[in-house]
Amino acid sequence: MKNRLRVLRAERDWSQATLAQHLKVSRQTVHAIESGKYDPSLPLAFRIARLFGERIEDIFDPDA
Amino acid sequence: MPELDTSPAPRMTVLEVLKSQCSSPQDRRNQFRFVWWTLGWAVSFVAATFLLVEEVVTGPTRWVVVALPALVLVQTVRTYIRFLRETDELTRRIQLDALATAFGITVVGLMGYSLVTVAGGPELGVDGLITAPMVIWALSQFVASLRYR
Repeated sequence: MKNRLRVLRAERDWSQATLAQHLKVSRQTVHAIESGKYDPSLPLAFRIARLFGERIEDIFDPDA
Repeated sequence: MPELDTSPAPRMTVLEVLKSQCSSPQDRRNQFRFVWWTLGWAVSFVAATFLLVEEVVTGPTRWVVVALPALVLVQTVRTYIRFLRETDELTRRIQLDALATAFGITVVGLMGYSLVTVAGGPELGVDGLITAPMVIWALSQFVASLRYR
């Protein structure tokens, strides 16, 4: 699934490790989501959306 | 305003992957417990084997010696399940991938091995049959974690 996580992270000038700390996940998790190798669970997707103040569907695109 | 760097992130190196896993204090604590219980099981298994082979203990006490490593192993499995439940979700996925792969390879391997022994091939012995699935599991974890780098 494609997503805008890398863009949102870059806008805040955060490293993958910083975002991982905010989300309480490993850096590998952030990296795998950004590269589309792993789709996050619903609770993690909600945490990401809340952190960036956006809706889940504005960050993740299931059709892409 | 500087342009955003949104180019795809390069693959993580093997070292970065290993460093990234179990990065939270809770994961480290759970993994530490699992390692210590695994070592405890190995020591109790070797000690029990020694006591039984050398006939240091006799009578009904032998059954206590037989049961002790099994009890330690039950606790080891419990600490692993706890680690699995509380860990980061990608680490859990990697662990489940590895368990499924190791289970499949072990079942197929044991089926093949049983035919090999019937055909007159070499026998691995109990030690080999215990060690082989563990080595396969460790290798499966490594391969599974590389899949998500």
